[in-house]
Amino acid sequence: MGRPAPITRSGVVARVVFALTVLSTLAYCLFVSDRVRIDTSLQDLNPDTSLAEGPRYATQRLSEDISQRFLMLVKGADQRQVNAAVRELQIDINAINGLSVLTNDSVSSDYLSALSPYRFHLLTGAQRQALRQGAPDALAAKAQRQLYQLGDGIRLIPFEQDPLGWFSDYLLSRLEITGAASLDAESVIVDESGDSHYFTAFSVLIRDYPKDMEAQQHLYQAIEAASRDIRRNYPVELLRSGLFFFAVDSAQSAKGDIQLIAVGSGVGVLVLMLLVFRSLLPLLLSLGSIAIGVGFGIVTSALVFGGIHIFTIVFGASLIGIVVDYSLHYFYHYLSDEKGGDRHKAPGALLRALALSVVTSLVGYGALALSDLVLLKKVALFSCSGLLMAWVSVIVLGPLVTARPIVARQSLLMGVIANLYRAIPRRLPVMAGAGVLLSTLGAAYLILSEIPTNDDPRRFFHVSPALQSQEQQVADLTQVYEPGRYFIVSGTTADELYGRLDAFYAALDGQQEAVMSVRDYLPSPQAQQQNYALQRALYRDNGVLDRFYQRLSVDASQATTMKQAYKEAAGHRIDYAALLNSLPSLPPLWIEHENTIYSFVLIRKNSDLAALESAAQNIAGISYINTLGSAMSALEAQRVTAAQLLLVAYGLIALLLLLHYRSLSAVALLFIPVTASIVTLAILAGIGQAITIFHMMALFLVLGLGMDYIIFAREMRHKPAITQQAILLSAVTSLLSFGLLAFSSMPVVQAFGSTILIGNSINFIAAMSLLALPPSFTSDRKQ
Amino acid sequence: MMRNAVCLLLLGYLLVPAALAQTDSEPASPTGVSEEAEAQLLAAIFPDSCHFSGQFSQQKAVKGLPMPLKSRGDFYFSCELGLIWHTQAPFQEALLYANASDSYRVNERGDIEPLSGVAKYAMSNIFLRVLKGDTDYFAQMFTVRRAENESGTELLPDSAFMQKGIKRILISKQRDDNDAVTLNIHIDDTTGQRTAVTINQITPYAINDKQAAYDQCRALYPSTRKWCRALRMPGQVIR
Repeated sequence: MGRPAPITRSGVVARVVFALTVLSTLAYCLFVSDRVRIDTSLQDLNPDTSLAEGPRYATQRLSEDISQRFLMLVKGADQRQVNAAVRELQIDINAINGLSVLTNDSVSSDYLSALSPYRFHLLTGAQRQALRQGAPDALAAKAQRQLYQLGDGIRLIPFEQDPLGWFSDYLLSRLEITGAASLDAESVIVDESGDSHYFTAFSVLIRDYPKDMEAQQHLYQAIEAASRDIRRNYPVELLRSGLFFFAVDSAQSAKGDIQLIAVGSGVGVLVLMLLVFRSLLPLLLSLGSIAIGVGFGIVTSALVFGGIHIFTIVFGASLIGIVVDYSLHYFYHYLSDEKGGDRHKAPGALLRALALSVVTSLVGYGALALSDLVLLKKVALFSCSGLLMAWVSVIVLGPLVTARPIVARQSLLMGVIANLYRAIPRRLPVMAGAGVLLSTLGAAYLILSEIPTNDDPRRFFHVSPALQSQEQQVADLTQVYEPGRYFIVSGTTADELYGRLDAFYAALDGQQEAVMSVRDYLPSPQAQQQNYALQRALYRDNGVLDRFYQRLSVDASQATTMKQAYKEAAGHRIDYAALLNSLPSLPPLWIEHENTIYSFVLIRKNSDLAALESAAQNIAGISYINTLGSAMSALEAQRVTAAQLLLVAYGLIALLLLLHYRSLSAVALLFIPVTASIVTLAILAGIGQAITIFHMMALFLVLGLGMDYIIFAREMRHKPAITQQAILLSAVTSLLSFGLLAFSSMPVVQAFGSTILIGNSINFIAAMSLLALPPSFTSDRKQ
Repeated sequence: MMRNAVCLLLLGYLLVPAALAQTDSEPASPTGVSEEAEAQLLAAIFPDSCHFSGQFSQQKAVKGLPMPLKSRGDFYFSCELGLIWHTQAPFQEALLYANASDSYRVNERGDIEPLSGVAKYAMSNIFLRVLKGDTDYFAQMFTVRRAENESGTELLPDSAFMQKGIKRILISKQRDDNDAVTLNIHIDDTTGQRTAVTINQITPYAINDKQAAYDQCRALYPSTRKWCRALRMPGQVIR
């Protein structure tokens, strides 16, 4: 063993920086890790749409609000049991920390309390019409009739505060229009066999949405426990609906995937390293670089995104198979260098190969950040930071490990390689011919057959059939509005916004009942002022109220208090924002952002969407939003853009190879990942997988990982046997990781894994073929 | 909403014939009875006849008003047609309930206008179930028992929806020397307000078909035949 070479100043600095980084990462993981949020939001799978910043902000707020509510539905053949079950379930859910049951009872009574002080400013359209027509006697007579009527004369506030019943009428009409009066009312359905089933649904508000996976599980378990008790005690069926349950379901699937991939990859690496090196030191460096890389990825994700998404961990688990490559190549270099050289310093060829290898992987993973999907950005950050740090750890710690001789069981790998070479082409014309043939066939298949594509974000995550069925049943029974379709209206002032709403309602031409907006909850400030002026006819001397009391033969002095209250209410108006503040259970139809107000108009199910969209076309400040349609369009655009960017990436890497090797034959090596990508897409389409943005993004990694092998095959060509073994081991670990991803229950992960599994297998075979070629083919300028 | 539940007030009227037929054979416990006993009680109070008419008087106490509101009138019910609820004093008004979705009000000018709003649906729904003698429905929706400190049968809504507006319905009957029955219905709503309805002079009819029910209606309301037409052909009346 030679004398250790002196370490340069820059080397010392690099090691100090590395040590500090590792220590900081370690400290963060030890002391702050319990505060690292494991995010499970499904919003990360939604692309940014083409909406402007303001409407996008408003839409996000709406989405957040929706995700913080869920619906419980109790169904049974016995109405009494259903009612008892609902009562008990509501009590149990209210007892769960962070949850509040929103019954219509509470919503409508809160709505009543909030609006009551402003009752002199509120009128229905019919009431305004009646007041404009005059005829105080007729109005007094009608109020008298209502008072006597059994059904029609109910007062929502005491008679003394609303003797004419106008405010009660206003409120009831609003509750009827907005649907707040119907949700937790019992309903009945009759099944195909003629049996009646009663059901009651109610909303639950998640006051503090659990961002952390553990807290989410805790909350879910509490809901599950409450549900179990109800199912045990009552003969009822319990259904639920809400994004919360989808997030929990996906998180549970992801958790299983993480365990499978991490344990599978980890055990694979462990067995391979022990089998081949028969020493703990290489194993320790490999595991150490994996731990450092993954730890650093977690820390950077937590620092940049405030937490780590569970899907990122699933994708990130596949890093194990790639990170271990650096240490493998590092050790294999020393296998052939036992009798001489400086064991404390990696030779230039190895460093160059390792550097190029990490750069191509970084390009592959970094390309994911080009997507508009937040999830892919997160995966890109986690993977790139993890890869980089793992690579640095191999470079820094490698010399310490290789200070002692490394022995590998090469005969085993050589036997495998020998068998492999019997099956793959070893001559350039055959190899090139096979590549051209396969890529031509693949391309022809892709062009001639209409390959299935899928840009529906709902298909990106795993949903258990049971949950999907529940969601559908609840939607069928309770859904009033079109999911994901609405209008967004903007205005700089409340009156401007209401003016646009008025214009929209007017353009609806008899279809006003098809939509619901803030206008149905509250009139505009201007309309409130007009309503107040109109109500003067009710409360002036000898007005409707005086005549009403005369009809009842009640002393006219009874009206004095009401008249005084009317006078004192002058100028007391309320806007939707204030109403929303006092009534958080109301839908967030009013969002203020940077001096603009945005408001949503909901569309009732089975409405004529085309007619509604057409009605809005000529009105300024109102646009139709189809969330799913927009998301699908955005994802389709991204899929196409990804394909174009992939071409750009190939171009850039070609340029890099040309500049570095000054040889066209080096550039021609790119034909390998090109073939791998085309054949992979053809195979995936052939087996019926619909191509998504995730398949396309995975092709960047096919390029990156393919270049890894090619670079090693080229850079380490002077040690073909060793390099073949290193590449074989590297490929086995990578394919193990991505192979495990391909068996994930999550469609996005499966797409990613299967693409890389197929593509990288082709890359590997091609790289091995490359190493079997005569040296003349791999010659470059330096020779 | 509360309005929906208070619409159940009219339920009392529909229980009249059943209450007349009620027997003392089924004792009820103060705290409630078994479902079987409830079903028997309900079966006993549902109408024997599907066609009858009578007079009503109503007294409604409203907090804030120094005196109770009194009204009176007549009614006609037929399983084949629906219900006419005709107030004669202190003002003229008629409510016409044809079926679950077609209900009308006759204003002081005699014009028929549809009843709108939540009330219409709730009332119509309850009315039809009572008129059909839907024992299962009432067994599901109410606890039926003997009143504790008052004479009569008590109906307590089980449904949370109904409980929002109605606290209980108490039905008692008196039979005079001529075997004429007077039925007293007290409805307590959730605001603590009590409405007392007295129904008497009940006349049952033996009617076999819709035409006969319509003819009886015209006989009872000869000057306002369009009320009967509204019941016979709901939906066409206001066209």
